[in-house]
Amino acid sequence: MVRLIVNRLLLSIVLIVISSIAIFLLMSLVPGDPARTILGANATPDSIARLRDQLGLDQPLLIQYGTWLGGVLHGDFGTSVFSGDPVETLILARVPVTLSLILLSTLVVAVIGTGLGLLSAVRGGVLGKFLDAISLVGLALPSYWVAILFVALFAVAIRIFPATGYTSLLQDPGRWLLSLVLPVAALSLGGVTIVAKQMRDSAMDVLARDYIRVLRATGIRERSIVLKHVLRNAALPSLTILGITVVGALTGAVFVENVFVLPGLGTLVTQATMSHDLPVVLGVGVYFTLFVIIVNLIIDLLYGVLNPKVRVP
Amino acid sequence: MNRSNGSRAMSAGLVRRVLRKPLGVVSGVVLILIVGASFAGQWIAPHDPLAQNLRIVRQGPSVAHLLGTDSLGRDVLSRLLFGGQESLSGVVVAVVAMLIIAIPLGILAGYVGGLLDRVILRVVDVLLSIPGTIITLAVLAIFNNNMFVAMVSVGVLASGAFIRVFRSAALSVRQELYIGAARVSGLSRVRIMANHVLPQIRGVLLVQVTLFSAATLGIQTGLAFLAFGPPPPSPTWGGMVAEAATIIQIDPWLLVPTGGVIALTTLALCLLGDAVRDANQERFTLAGLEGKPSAPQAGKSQVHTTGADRDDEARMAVTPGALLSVRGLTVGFGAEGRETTAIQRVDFDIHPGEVVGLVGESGSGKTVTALALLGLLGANGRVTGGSIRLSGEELVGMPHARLREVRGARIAMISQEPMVALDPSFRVGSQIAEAVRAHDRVSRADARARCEELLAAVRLDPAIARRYPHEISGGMAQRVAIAMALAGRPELLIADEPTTALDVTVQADILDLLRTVQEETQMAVILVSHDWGVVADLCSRAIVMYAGEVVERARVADVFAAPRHPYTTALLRSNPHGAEPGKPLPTIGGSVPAPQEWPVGCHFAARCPLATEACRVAPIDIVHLEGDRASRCIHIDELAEVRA
Amino acid sequence: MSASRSPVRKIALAAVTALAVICGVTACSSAGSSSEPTSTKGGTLTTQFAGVPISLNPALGGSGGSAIFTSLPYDSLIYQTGDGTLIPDLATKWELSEGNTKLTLTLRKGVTFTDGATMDAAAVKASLEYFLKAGGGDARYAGPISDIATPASDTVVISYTSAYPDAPYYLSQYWSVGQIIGPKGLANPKSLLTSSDGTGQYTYSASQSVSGASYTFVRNKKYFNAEAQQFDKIVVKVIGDPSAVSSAVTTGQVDFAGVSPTTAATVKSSGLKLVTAPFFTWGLTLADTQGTLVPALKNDDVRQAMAMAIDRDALATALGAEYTQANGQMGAKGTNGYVSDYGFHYDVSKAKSLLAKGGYPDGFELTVLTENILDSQTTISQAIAGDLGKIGIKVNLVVKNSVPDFIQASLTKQYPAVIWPVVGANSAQVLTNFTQPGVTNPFGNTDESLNTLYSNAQSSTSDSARTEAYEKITKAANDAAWFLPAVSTDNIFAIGKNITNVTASALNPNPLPQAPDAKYAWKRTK
Repeated sequence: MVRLIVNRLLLSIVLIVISSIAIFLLMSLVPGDPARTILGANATPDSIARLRDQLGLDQPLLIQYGTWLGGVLHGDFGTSVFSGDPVETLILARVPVTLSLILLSTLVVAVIGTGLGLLSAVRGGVLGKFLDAISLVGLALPSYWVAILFVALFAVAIRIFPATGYTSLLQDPGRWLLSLVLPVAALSLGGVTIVAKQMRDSAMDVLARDYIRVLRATGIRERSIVLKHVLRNAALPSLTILGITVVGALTGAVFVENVFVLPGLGTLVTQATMSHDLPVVLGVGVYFTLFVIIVNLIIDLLYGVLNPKVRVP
Repeated sequence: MNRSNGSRAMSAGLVRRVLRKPLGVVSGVVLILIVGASFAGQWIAPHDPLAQNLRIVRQGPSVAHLLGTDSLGRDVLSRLLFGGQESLSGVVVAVVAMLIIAIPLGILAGYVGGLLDRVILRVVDVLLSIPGTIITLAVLAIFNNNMFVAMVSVGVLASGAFIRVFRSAALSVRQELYIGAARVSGLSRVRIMANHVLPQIRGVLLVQVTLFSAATLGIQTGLAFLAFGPPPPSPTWGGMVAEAATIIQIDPWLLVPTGGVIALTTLALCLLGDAVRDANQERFTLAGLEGKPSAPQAGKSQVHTTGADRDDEARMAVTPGALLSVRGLTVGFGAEGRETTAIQRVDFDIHPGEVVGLVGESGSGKTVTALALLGLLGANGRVTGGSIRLSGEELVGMPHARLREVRGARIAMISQEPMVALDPSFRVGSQIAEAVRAHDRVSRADARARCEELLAAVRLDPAIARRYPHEISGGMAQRVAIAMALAGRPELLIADEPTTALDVTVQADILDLLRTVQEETQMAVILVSHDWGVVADLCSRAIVMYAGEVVERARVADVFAAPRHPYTTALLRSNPHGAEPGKPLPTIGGSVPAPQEWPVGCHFAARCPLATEACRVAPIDIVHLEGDRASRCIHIDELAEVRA
Repeated sequence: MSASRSPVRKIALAAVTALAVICGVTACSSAGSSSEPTSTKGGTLTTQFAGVPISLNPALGGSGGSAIFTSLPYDSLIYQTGDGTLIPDLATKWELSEGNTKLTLTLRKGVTFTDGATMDAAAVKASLEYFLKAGGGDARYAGPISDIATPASDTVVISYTSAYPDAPYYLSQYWSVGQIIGPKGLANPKSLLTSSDGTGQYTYSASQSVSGASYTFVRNKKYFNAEAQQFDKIVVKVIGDPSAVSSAVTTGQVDFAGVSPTTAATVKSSGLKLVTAPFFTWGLTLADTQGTLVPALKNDDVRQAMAMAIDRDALATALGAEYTQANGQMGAKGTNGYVSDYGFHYDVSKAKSLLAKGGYPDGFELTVLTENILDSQTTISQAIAGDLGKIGIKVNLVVKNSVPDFIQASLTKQYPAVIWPVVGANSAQVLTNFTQPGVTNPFGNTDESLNTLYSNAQSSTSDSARTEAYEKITKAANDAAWFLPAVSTDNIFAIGKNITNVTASALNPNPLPQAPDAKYAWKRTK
């Protein structure tokens, strides 16, 4: 277990370096000049040159990257060329939003997806067909389209939930939850259906296994068979899918944060990409990479917990 | 047969199987319509997609504009048709990019393995960790919103996950025997991969391609929605949703056709993927079972209401003192009312403390009979006739909750494959304790104590309790299974071929254990087996089954002395325990007929040396002989001669 | 919606020279009128702005609506009320010299910066000088400054190399020039990005803000006129997408928002008040009138023909007639220099014959640069492109998703034509868009006769003479046909149920919540 974690953390350093180099190179190819962006239409060439110098944009790419990486190793992600804020400040202010969104969405996907899938597998029949149909529709509707509809229906027409914006958890837990209901719903829809589908398939598979018959023959209660044995064994393949869904939620968050105007990392990175704010893009890139690695690590650890065969003694 | 011919035939079958599924056909047709209409947009669009008419903006559907007009008065239908070209070709670009990378790398990693595999897997790790959103946004910024390049990058970034999928598919194909054969025959690796591995993973590939297409369509239209992609006035699906979104409050209709076409296409792709996946699975699970099931003949449930076997009251009566009385038990599988009969007119009694062998070849209906006793036929199967009485209490039609109380507590079962009979996710001890607690309301500590007691009863070290099923041997697993079965102190234990899957050396130990346990607990045992040696060793009586019917019932000693059914005779002869050294083992010619192929008359007639026309014309009734023997044969008298 | 929440610069040009002079001479008294009895003070005001601040450093920041980010913490020397009147702020009076080349400002006494320093002539001079060298985008609005003198601790004299009658106007809160930064902030300009150093009613609170999403300003206890401060806190939320803005304001998540013509009706029907003011004039700017990239554009007949191809009435109707007016001249109706019953008319057949006369009977291809932030969904751009298509001119639109990208692209001189709105209180102001280098004049076009008309207007002394000069400019501009006007659009603001006293006019089309005099500040009703 410890070795797995250490290995993953070592790997994560390599991955962060590789992905930051990729982002760095790509972003340096993006046409446009941050200095020009900052100074606007009427700036003089002179002031632009001065700012470029200040920002270190005249130095060779390798040196720019080296400087950045050196800073990161000391915990300094640099400052936004655009707003002048330290990148950590910018990111840390937004991490709670994206994290709330993704964690809640993961919870919803895991609980509802698993529940629906299990129910559909056990009950089958009309309910199963109905769940199948619902999940297909959920899968087919684009999340941004659903998000627009949610705002129009639940926020503007019926006014149950706030249409846009975010309230901090520390400020007001109730409003925090309310402000996240629609975004989380829009973000989770696809994931719920995918996990439900996977759960249904693997639960059906497990239900056909010998040990389920043996358990029944032993007189174990059906509820216990389903909730303990089927769930536990069917959870393994679903866990992999859940991991993919959580990582995918990162992309979904970019769309959803934009529709619901949530001050999260998704809106930050779109803004930063548009304004050629390289330090911010790199910083978010590092956080995204870290997030993916942590999610995969957690999934691996959970996999170990759920599947005794891969458990490391 | 030529291998490549074989695989081609297989994939042709795949297409056929997909076409047999209504949803597969419908989604395929919808997809073809959408793709076809989009690419034929030039010719079939009712209007120029760019022709604006500012005087008829934001109109709902009308005859002139079937899907209405947008905020510049352009025809929405025409714009959707033209927009489809861009969205769909974007999907194709991403899919092709993904396949170009994922197929070779996936197959190489899976088939070649070794260092190459490890290197490719590391590359996959990197691909999966790079934040795709950021890269795609950056790519769009660099290439000035060029959707082609963006979709290539989407394909490349997604290839990581698919390399894994194709790798594991190739890995499993590699382990299949015939690839080994191809290897021996000296085919080069590249040719093996191209000719054998690739066609084998075609099903997986098709499923992944349809699902990835659906996902990519979401990304492609999502990017267009965020105003990336070809500049206006070129129509794009995502761009049209974005436009609809900004005017949702004055013209909500526009959101319907624009989001609708994306949803419909995605839906069709998902359904097609499902159909392909199902068809692909059938290819493996139904191999050899293809062809229409013939109409049930003798298997029809009406049969036993006609003919000689109309059950007389006397025969249906419960034998006094019997623990279990099975009468006229008939079980069918399949849709209700259209069942295929698996066993029919099964009668027997089990007395308390008695060990009875249930003997027959595979397919004779032994296991179905055993499962029927526990009401564990599954969703697909049901008792269509007859009765099962346990100490006089009818089990057929008993409510689930009460049946559950019977299971384990009064009738328990151990199954053929001990290795798959235990839940791999839980420790052995926990599973035994669960069985204990299903019957006795005891504390956890008491359950643990009882668990140790049971482990001792099956001669296992109590330390085993902390192991997982994969950490113990088959013999140990069967002992655990017996312990679980004993947990409810059953009156009847059904042991379904308890030693078949075990090593020869272990078989005897398990049988010894069963005997000991039976003697200690004085429970009745039904030992399902095809092995006369085992039956002779443990059982006092034997019930012989063939093709869904009981053909003979007798004391074991009597059976060995003088079988009263030609099938029993044949079965005894082919028994390895009774074989004469140096002589080839006699076998019964032919095989057990499947339920659909049961003849009207004697089920064994086709393989029987004594069969006459009389055997074939009508169902054969069971004949009661001296003592409590019975046989389903009209040539009992000739048997003696044959044996001689 | 749009991915780009990048700086939206509603670059606005406007001038109220005449009013400035009048007000400057009479030196409107500094008022301390009490707030209305029905209003209540305190609480949080939440407003919306479409883009992130260009910078929180006023010297690098934006003007117009985006001035809210800097004008809350930094008082300007002069304040412009909603109806366009200039009233005292940090300067209690000001006077333009004869010939409009020297501006004398008398400063308010007893005002201190957030950093504790006293606001005096030296501080103002230092701030103005920093502004000039900081290289911000709005530097040119400071005017042709030759010298800044401080004859007394409460007097600043700004000298200009040429007549600059607009000087007082450009020192108002609407522009960042006149927003005064304290000495500590000037010593460390970087610090201005995370904390403010002004004398304004509010101070920037970085800890309560999420950069790029919401900006929080808290009441400045040191402010010189506590009476005028209406709120404890002002939060500016960045919301760009029109639908999201509409949802936010109708559900009460923001008290004030700039809404689009397409959502205005919904907002209005939900019971909110709308405040509108004419703002943009949209049209096609033909930048390449020298024919460097597209020779056809050098031809006068071709440009006239293109102007006639635009169906202005239809476009105005399609965009929502209530807030959009067809306009065939560069100034909006109501601005100085607007000529009634004048302008380009829609006439396709005449356009075709003119095009043929110019030597292009079959039209030509034209690449047009535009963006989708101000021109949401590029509706206007697409409509203009479609109209030109009807006379055979094939338009290829190049769309930028952010304003900075658009500006950069335009300045590369690779685009013969651009679509970008222009603004001005009079035609002379609008004209500068096409005669001074910038996003709507990347090729640096200049024309002697237009320049002469402009100078005449600047040096005119009577209102009537000035108006006459402005009208000449309007007509001369259409004769040159560098800019092909299409429609004028209103700035539309939705006002939350409890907010009152929000005013806007053609002269000040971007209302801001704070005012040095409570009379002009937004208030919350009880």
